[in-house]
Amino acid sequence: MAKYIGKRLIYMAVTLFVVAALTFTLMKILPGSPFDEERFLRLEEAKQAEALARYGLDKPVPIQFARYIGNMLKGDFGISFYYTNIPVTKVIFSRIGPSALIGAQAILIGLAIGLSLGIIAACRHNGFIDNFTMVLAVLGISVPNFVAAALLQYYFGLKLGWLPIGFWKSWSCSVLPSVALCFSPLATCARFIRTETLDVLQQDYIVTARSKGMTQARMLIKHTLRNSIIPVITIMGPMVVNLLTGSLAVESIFSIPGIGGLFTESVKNNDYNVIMGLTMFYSLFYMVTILIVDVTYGLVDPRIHIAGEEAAE
Amino acid sequence: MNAQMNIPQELFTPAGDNTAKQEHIARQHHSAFYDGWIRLRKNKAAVVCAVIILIIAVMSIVVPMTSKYTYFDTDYANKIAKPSAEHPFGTDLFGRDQWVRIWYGTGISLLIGLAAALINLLIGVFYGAISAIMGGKVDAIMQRIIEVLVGIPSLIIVILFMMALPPGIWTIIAAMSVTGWVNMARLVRAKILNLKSQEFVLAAQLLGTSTWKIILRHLIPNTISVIVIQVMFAIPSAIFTEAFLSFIGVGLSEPKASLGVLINNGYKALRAAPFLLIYPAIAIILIMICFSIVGDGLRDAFDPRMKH
Repeated sequence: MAKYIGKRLIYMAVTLFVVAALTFTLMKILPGSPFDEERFLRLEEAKQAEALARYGLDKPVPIQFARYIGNMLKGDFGISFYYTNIPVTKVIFSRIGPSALIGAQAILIGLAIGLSLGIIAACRHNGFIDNFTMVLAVLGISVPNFVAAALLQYYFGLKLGWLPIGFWKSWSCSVLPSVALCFSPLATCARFIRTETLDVLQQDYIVTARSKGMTQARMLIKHTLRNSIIPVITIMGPMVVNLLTGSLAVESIFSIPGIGGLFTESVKNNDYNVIMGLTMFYSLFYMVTILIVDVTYGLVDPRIHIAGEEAAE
Repeated sequence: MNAQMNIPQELFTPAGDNTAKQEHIARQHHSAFYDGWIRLRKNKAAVVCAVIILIIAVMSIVVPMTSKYTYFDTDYANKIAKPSAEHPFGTDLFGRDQWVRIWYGTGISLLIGLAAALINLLIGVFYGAISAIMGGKVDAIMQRIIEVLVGIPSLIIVILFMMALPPGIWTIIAAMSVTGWVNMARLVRAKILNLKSQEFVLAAQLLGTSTWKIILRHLIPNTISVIVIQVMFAIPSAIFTEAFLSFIGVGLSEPKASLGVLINNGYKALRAAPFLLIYPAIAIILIMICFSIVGDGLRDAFDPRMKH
């Protein structure tokens, strides 16, 4: 186990380095500098050099990169160009709260409704709830989250005026964005648990339990759910990742001061340091999530043996 | 009871040797693809959705060509007109006919989806196939590279590429191809590895079939179903990514239109003209649903053992 985790950590480090190199190169190709072009050109040459030196932009690119990596290891991502003089890490950390709240709510709603619907659907195979769930699952996977968010904002925010939109003051502001984000986890979850449960229901031990005269409810709880819920862990990774990317658009639609909104903002403002910091943050978060999911799955399900790459497949 | 005893001996004839009859295959010989096709045809929803996709694709070419309006001609006297007989979907903030723009945008979105999926297919299939067939050190190195790439959050990297490169349809396609092929490569590799260890390949090897012939006749045909299914899921995902990029403002630029651009414009005009958001939203949802159902149908038909 320790060996497996160690191996994965090495891959993570390599991946992070690749992401950093890629991001750094792209940022260097990008047109424009963090400085206001016109005002910068009007400065005297000495002042220009001073400004460049202040951000370390006067050194050759490889040295800039080495320095960037070095600072990054110390947890220093430089300062934001847009929020003048505030360190990138501080900007990012000040924005995590709202994103975490919305993300957690979306996952909880998605899991709660998705699991219940999927299990009921499997028990009443081909019944009304089953068909309803399948339609919902197709819709949830097909409707892009930003379209859902925009439509929710229009109907519930503008037209009906039930919930606040466009600002971030109270908990009620987090309802619509959470709902907009929950569709995809809900659909994935319902579909997945339905297939798993249908699968388990056909196993011999379920037939045995039935023939012993066990009640439906008892059998579901004792034999079916235990076996069908464990694999849900495997889809948690992709689900969390979906939420992360979904939050980019949804947060800017609902003007939420979260990291997703920050990323889109920084893209528009050419705030390179924040973009690089966020990219590293997202990558790290993404990889840690997947690692946790894989390790937990191995721990929870005794049928799975973590043997190098098989578990990663 | 007695009646049975009275059957004359002559009526009994020896059954004879009819092994040929026993071994007779009553069912017509079908290739695996024909079998899949029969299963697919029975799936009404998938067939209907496939037809809808075809109709949408044809309309997206025909409408912009035949309409008297174009996707870029502005008419400021007539902006934000409500849907009418003249402009079935109304006009946008610049007085451009939304009917033509939606069909044009749909065409662009489909083109991007298709092109991105095909590029992913090419890279992914080659990478996966080479990795699986070569095996050994080559495979090990190629898999390590994949493992590094898998950790990259692709959408973020795509956004960065879009920022760094000049905007345009091909930039979007190229940006999406940077990490998009990884899934295809993994699937193809897994499938070929699985095939390689099966008896019929061993039999072919024992009969002295050359490696190339095994690859061409046994490995590739048996991998096609996996590839087709994956492509069917890659298309809507590329359409989604493009729409997402255009929505957050790093995708196509005006006056070009894709569904993402249209949704973005519609979203900006939400208070004044909600129909500008709703029609393109319906268009993208319809396309995504159809692709998703056809994809599911294909998977059920061609890979019945695969889990959902």
